[in-house]
Amino acid sequence: MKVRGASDAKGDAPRRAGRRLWLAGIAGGVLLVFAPSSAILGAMLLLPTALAWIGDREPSQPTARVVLLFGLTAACGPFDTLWHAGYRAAAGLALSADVRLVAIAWSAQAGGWLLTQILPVLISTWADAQAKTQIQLFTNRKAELLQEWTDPP
Amino acid sequence: MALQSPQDAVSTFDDGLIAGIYGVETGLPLLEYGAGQPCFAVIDHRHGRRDLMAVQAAVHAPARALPVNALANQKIEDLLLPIAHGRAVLGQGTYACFVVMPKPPGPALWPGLVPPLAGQSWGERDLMECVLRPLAQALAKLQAVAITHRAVRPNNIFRGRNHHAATLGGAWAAPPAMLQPCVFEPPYSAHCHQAGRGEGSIADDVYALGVVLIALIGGMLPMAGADDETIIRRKLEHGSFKALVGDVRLPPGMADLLRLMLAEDPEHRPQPAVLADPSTARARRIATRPAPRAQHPIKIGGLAVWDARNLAYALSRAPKHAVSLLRSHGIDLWLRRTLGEPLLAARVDDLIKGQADDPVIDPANADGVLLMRTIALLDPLAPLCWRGLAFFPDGIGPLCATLSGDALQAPQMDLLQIVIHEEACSLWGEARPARMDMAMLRLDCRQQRVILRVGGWAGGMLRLAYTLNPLLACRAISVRHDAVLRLHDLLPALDRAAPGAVEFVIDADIAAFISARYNGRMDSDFAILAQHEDLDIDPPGHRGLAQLRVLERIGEQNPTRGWPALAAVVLQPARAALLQWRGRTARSAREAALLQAASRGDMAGMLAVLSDSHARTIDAQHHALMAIELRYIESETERLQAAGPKRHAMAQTTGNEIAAGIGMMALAVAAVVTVLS
Repeated sequence: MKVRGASDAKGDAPRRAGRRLWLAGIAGGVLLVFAPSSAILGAMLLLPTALAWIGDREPSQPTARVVLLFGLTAACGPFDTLWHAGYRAAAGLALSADVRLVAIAWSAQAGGWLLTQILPVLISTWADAQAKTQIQLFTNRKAELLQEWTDPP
Repeated sequence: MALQSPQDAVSTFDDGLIAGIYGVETGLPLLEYGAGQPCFAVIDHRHGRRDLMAVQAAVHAPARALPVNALANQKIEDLLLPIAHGRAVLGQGTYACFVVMPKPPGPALWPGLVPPLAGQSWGERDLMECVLRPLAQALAKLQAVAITHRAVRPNNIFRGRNHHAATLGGAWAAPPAMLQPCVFEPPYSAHCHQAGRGEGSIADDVYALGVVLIALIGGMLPMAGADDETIIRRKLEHGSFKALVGDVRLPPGMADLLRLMLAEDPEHRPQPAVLADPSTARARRIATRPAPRAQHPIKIGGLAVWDARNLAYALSRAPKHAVSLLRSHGIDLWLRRTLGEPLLAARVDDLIKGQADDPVIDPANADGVLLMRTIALLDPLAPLCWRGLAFFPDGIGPLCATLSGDALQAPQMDLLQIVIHEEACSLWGEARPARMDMAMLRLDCRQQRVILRVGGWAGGMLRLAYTLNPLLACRAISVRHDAVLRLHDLLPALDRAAPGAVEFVIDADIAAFISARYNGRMDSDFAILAQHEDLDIDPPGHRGLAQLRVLERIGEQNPTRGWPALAAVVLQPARAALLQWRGRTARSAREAALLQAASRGDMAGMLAVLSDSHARTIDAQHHALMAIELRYIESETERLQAAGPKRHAMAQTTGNEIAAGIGMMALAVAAVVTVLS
């Protein structure tokens, strides 16, 4: 009899990732058909997110999520401009070609990525220091106890 | 007057006076008064008396406790009674045991026991009035208080003033009859080891008095120049009277009296009170059956014997040959066929046959018991004879003291040990029940055996020697020159000997002395002390602590004094007991308190510091808590050291979550700003 959990652990993750890629492709296609300006602008601004999505090998893709959040934050302004420009494709293309906007969006996403790299290191360093302090306290206490309770030679 | 209070004892030690009163003038020896023992003039520091003397007891031959105590308050004319006893300074830093008594009124009848002394024959009237009557009266008074003298001999009898009644010297500074030459003792007593003659009976003093009279009549010692063996054999072969009188011409009135006084059986001798009236004494007649004499002698160990009494003596002198003869029925056949004593022969035969069926007797000692019983059967007057060692059971105490103090007498000591272990005195008494108080004898034997069987230093022959000799001073090397008689003298002596002493000041001798004198049990501590030093492993310092406990208990008798020198010596082994405290702080505090108590010489304080069980329990509890804490620390340290990867994973997750949180907040703010603008 086949063990169900074992097959899930091995085969489900790539299947789910592939499914997500399919869904993303369908959503992108639908968006390109029904809102081409938003699709073009979004694709341009969130290109680093897409790259992060592909590069993040973690199952829950925490780095990609942070990059996405920062990308969306930076995309709020351009989309607002696109909204007020009436969702025309020309406006979308013009905004997509705006180097300043793209640079801001990409920088924000790069900042998000950087945050995901720096914060764990900082936290790890802090936790290690805490542990080391604790170990030192224990070592001191142990030496104190041994000095007090060890029989003289 | 015996010392009673500790205060007296202290003053004795400090000022070197006996009972705090009598000072022994060791520069003024009185050689003529000691009757063979060292004797010195005494000054009574309280009353200024100078008519006293002190007789020194030998180290291994203690003074007689019973007479010394019982006669201290008696008044007996013509007898030098003990006034006090104790130790006094003998020389520089050396003490000895003395018995104080009055000086005799005149010189001894006999300047020495070396004959002859020409021109000293006495007339019958002088003998009766000046010697026999006063000495018999003195002996009668001694008999009234159930004490024997056992030192009646010419050099211990002193002339009275103006040719008046003679005075009997003391006999208190040595075991009974120990210094008596063989000639003054009946053969059964002369045969014994000198220290084992026992208290005897007043009849033995009467016998000695008879010999003294013969010596005075003849002007020389009877059988002068003969060795002890010859004297005993002559007395046994010819009877004491014939052997002692020899060629001496006795005054007509004296012969019958002396014949009675020198009777072989002590029960046939006149009582001292009767002797005080010689005419009455002379009138007594004792009908005794002459001992049967064989037609042919039997040879045992080179001795040719003709009668049962001599046979008993010969058997005791050659035990190995005697046993082989007994086992081969040579003795009982000789008794039956040659001596004509079928009844005696049958009883000897019964002894030989019954011996094999006796389950109580150790087979290794069966021959000794058989020989002892046979000798007692053949001669009911004979002492207990055990493989060549002869003694009376009431002489075991002095015998034990003498033998245990001389390494050369170790084989005899071993024999005595077997006698006590086998309760042979009891078996000996059963062979002559008419002459023994069997109940007391059995009780004594049982008690001696119990002491012998106590394990460690609290038992054995040394302990027995001190128990049976209350006036035997401690003979341990460290305090040998202090003549320690009582427990409260022991600590000052040990304190004096402490500089240069080994760590364990209590040795087997001191332990035996304490066990015998202490009114309580310290057996377990002595068992610990008897262990080999290498075994002092667990718990640490338990030998040192045992020594301290012993000294503390002895010190209870002298609580106001401190013994700093002794404390400094016993401190080292006891200090190891500090290791029983596991905590360094507690241990350091204890050590400081211990050193402080030791500097004061306070044994009780030292012991209290080291054996505080409540504090030790608390210390052990703290140690257990420490062990728990230590285990927790080690496990936590290990856990922290091993949690590095987990911590990094957690940091990664947390970092991502925080970054996501920041991103969401930024998105929310941007969305709100965009909507509102």
